[in-house]
Amino acid sequence: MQHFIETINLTKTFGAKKALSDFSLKVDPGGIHAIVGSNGAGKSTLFRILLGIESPTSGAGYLLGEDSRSLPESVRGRVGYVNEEHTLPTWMTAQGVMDFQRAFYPSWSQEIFDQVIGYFDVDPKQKVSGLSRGERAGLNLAMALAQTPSVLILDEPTLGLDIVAKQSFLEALMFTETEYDSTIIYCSHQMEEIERVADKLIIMEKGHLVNNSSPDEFVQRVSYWVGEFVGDMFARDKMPGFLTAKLIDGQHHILVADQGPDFGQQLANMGASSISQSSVNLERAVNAFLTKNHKSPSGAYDRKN
Amino acid sequence: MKNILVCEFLRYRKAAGLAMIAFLVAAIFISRLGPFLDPNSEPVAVLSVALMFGSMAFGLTQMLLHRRKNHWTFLIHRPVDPQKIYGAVMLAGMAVLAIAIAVPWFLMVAGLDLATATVIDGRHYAYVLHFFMLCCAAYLVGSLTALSANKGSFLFAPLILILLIPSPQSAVGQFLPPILMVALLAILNAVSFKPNLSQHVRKPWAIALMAVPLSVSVMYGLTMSSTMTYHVPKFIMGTHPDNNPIDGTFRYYWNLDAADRVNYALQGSPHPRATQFGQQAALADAAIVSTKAAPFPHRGQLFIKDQQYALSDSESNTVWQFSHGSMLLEGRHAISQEPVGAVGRNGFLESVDQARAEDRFREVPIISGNNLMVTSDGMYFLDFNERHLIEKFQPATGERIIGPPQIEEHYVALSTSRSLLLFDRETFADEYYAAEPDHIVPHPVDPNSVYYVQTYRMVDGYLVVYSGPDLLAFDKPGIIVLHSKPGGETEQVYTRTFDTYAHPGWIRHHLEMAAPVLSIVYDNMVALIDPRTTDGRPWTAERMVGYPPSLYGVAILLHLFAIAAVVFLVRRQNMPKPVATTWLLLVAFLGLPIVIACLLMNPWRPEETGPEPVAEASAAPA
Repeated sequence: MQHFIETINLTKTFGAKKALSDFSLKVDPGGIHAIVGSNGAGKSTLFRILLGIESPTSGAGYLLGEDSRSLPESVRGRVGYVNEEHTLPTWMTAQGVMDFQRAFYPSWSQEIFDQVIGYFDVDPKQKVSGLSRGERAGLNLAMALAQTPSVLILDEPTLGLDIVAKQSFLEALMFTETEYDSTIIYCSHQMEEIERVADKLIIMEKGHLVNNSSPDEFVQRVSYWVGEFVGDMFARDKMPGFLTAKLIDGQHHILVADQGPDFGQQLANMGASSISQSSVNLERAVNAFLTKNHKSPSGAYDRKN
Repeated sequence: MKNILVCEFLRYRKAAGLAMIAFLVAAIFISRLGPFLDPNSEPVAVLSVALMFGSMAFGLTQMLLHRRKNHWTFLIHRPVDPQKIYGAVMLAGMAVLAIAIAVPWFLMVAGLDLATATVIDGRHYAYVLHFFMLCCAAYLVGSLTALSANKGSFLFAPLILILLIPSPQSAVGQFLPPILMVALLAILNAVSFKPNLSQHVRKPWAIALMAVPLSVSVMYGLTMSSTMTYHVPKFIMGTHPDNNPIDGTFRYYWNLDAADRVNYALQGSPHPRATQFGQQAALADAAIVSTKAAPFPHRGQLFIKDQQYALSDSESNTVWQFSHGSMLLEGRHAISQEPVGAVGRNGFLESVDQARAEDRFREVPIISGNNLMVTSDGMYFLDFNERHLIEKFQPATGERIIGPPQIEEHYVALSTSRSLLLFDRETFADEYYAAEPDHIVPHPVDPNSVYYVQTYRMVDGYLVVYSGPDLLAFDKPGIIVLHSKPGGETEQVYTRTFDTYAHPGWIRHHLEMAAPVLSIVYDNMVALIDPRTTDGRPWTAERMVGYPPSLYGVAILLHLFAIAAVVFLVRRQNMPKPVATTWLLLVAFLGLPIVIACLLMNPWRPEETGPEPVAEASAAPA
């Protein structure tokens, strides 16, 4: 199996802060790989290291098999990158920017560009500075896809877009992925988008990789339990795979990871009664993972119990 | 590459156009105040400095805008060699500078050339190119500061000023240094322009190219360090020798009033009239003249090197500029700008066209005051009303005039390669006669080693006192007292030497001590560019210099310390072998400044860069 992206024990520190910690990831060719993580999880740092903009403190990253610290021009030509700001030369017209980019990519597909830009209402004579955020995102995506990249990295591309622009963006993305079989790395905080487009779900938390599987496989990892505990019998520290819990109408709603059906028996052994298991959707599962280690006012949950 | 160049240029085209208009408005305003091409014009000097700083700020801003995170990715992440991307961005930046600076400057010169009778030579046009190159160098220093991980990139800026100091005698000497400077900075920028801007340069040749010029700036930084470590503390404590001169030092002599100096200079003199000279000098009129060679202008030199713009005659309301093209002094009416004739070696001419080969000056004269022209072989007086040229003085065969005349209360002094000539002031001012010196005082030493000559008007001639910290040899201060008698005889009264110094050797020679090789190479380079200047010192002269013996010991110790420091840094940074070897070779040759350069050009914390890239990842390339 060829890995389009591979990182081996990648670590990046900024002063005392670790943005990435022994981060090892393999991304196979094809499909849309969604990267999810809370702010500061290390997603953008990962992309910058992969693009060779920053060097790792230790470990190594490979893009299309090449060490990211010395990417040859041929590899850069096969990797598209769209950032959340949709940085483009604002002083040029949309047509001018397209002509500018097209000159660098011999495999440029005008057909793809025209098809993707068709999802957006972009006047070619309009200056980029006069385009709406959504139009700029559309132009950026159209150009990135027209490069026919082997790998397309999208770093929160729909950030700040309205619902219509977001819809157009996702439709264009899915169309291209279906028609042209690009490998797309899609980083977003929008779970509804992830749910729609992702073939693989990569979850990052504080510089660590916590999941790399299909969304369905990931959802299966998370189980949702409801039970009643008497007094202060509820002890989350003793629960294997504990993610989050909420106390609603005297019942504890608990999310745990990687636990089988016998987890109900474990809850019973801990003093729980009226135990039941429910299904969980992707957004809730992901949120449970991401909020697991988040800081909260000290002891707030315990005081409620 | 062309696309990036065009894109980048379009970004700044409006700003460039506005800057060009602003420049033209400022230049036209300045030309209303006085001649725009006056080398001593303060507004033009201010404008030039502003343009150079502006160029530097532009380079810095341009690259800082690019290196913002996402903007940087947009620029660098494309299938193009980063050096080519930089080349395009740099050329666009230079095109902007050309529009904002070179074009309006050229238009001003061409406008003056075509629309007025102002003398415009090729050298005025050449200056546009020269100044544009200086602005490009400033621009590149700005961009290097933004791009390079080197923390001392801005230290390249003082090197641009060093380019302005010498007055080269050839076009090669004039243009080669700025061309090399621009080329060097462009290369360093290109090397620094890489996807990961936090990485320091690691190519040995690039390290050498960056470290050596940086060391020159550092060398001057070390010069200033003596201010902090010696002068300032001494001033604060109130013990600085300048304020508390030590008896027996040259400084002590120099701090005395003019009236007391001869007495001090003649202490211990066996001359029978020593006491009498001292007493007379205390009451005599004293004046100071210089014997240092003033570099004569050379043909085609940049106009900013001229000492004076033109001769002006208020009665005829005419302005006379020397043309390096025709080698004549060309006149025009100050208001109507109509040509009013020319002046050649043989006198006034009705027009420039009338000049024959023998009329043209053989060398460019220094023009001085309102009506004086001096070349190394003659001094000329001009009477603009009578349209009459007098050769006021001609030195003897083999003798050269080495500077313009200095007009004092009682005499006019002229220094030649052999003597100091004192003319009676009134006779000298007579427009109809050549001048004969009343006193001819042969220089007792090389005139360039003299700090100043002080004269005392006595009842029987002049006491002429030569003095200087290097009068008798390098670092051998002394005073030579001469008595020039009215009959033309000159008697050497006394030579006083000094063995005590106001400042210790490590202050007097700290540059040679801290950076011996660099200071010698630099002195040689300056001497090579402009052999007439006393700022540089060719190798032949350097070999004659005798430094205090202790200086050699301290210099060796400092050099060993520098090598040890670089060895420590190289090991601490775990540098690859070629990089480490480069630094060790540099410090072995250049000494202490390289330690500072090494600190600036490397991360201060040991860099963990992970394993070296391997040819293939664990996964097969896609």
